[in-house]
Amino acid sequence: MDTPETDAGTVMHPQHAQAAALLPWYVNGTLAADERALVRTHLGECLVCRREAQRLGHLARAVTGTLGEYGCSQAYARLATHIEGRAQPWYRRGLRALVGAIAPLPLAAGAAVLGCSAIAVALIVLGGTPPPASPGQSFQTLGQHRVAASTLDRPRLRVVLRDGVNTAARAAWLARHDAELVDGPSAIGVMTVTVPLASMPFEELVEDIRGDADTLFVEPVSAVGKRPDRQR
Amino acid sequence: MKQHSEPGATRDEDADLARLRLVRVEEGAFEALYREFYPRLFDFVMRIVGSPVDVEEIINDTMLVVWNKSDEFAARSKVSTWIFGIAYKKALKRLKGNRRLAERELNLECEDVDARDPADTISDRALLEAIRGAVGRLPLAQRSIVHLAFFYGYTYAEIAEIVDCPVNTVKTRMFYARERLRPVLDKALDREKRDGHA
Repeated sequence: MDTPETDAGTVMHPQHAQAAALLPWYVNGTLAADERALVRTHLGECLVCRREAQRLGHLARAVTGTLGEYGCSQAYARLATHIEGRAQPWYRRGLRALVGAIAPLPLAAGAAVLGCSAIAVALIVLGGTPPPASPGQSFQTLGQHRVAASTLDRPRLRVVLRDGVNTAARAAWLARHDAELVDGPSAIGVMTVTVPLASMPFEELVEDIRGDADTLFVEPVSAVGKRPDRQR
Repeated sequence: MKQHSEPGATRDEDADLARLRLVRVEEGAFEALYREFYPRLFDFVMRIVGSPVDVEEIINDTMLVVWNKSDEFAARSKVSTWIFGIAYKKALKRLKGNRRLAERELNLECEDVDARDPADTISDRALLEAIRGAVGRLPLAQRSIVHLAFFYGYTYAEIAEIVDCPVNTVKTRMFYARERLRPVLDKALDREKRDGHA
């Protein structure tokens, strides 16, 4: 594969090609011990490979460095929301699909689709497995959420927003209350958020959130089933 | 276990495997895995597609596969190798969907590295940028292997698994990348020699 240079005065070694091919991984330090020994021995004898190893050292230094801001939290929130959406109960998704399929059909055709669907649903119930849970759906338990002591400065709340609150409105709601999304929204719309205590007493904070027009339900969550404000 | 050098993150394969195993059973495990891999994948995918616009979507497609297939991971390879392999395929698929990018990136023969020699008076910083620029202009297949080796510290066998090709192909692509980069890397060597004699 590799053709050794023919620099004047350079003696080609029998293992040159093998060592030259391994040089990048000698430089990045991932060769197995026997390969590393082979390359090291060869480098002691081969000027061409020593120069190449130096070149690769420059290359390795040049390609380090990250590419900037990542926006990980927002990206994760979008993926979690997507997974939650896919993890809706099968009967809810199935019913919605069925209604969508039947609606535009004449009565007889609709009845036929309904009959086939009923058989399919029966087969799923008897032999199928439920769809995978979502990251949030698997673990949501009101009042039993494990909370590290350090998070008590930002107590956790379970929140459900009103129907029709879309992603943008949810983001606006989070911003209004300086809340950070920890988990959710689940398939039934439950979110876990943290909120700062510094701005006002806890009771007032919860009441403030409860008074928001988009809030349907809000309750604090703690490690031992008590409200964070009463743990102090 | 070997710890690869990696900017901004310490690679701990045991921890990655533990997180993967807990993805479906412990709250926060998936998010922890996601947060661990997002920066790594961001840089990797960004270097393939060259635009931040598609990066998040490719990463989320990748992690969705991880979520769905976590139970099936047989631990025959490292978790990171598996995830990077998924990301590589997703990024390639996206590239192929973009005809303009695909023409530029997927044709190994269409584009040579810009062999403009940095001037003798070029600064160290500019030389570094010249090397990075030359790497950036490598064909995708070669560029990916250079980054996987030198940015992520993968072995040639791991790279072969990630990009789904034989080990000898990895070495061959690396060889051609080295050939293309030689002019600019020689300038770095000359600079080093001159500074050493100064």
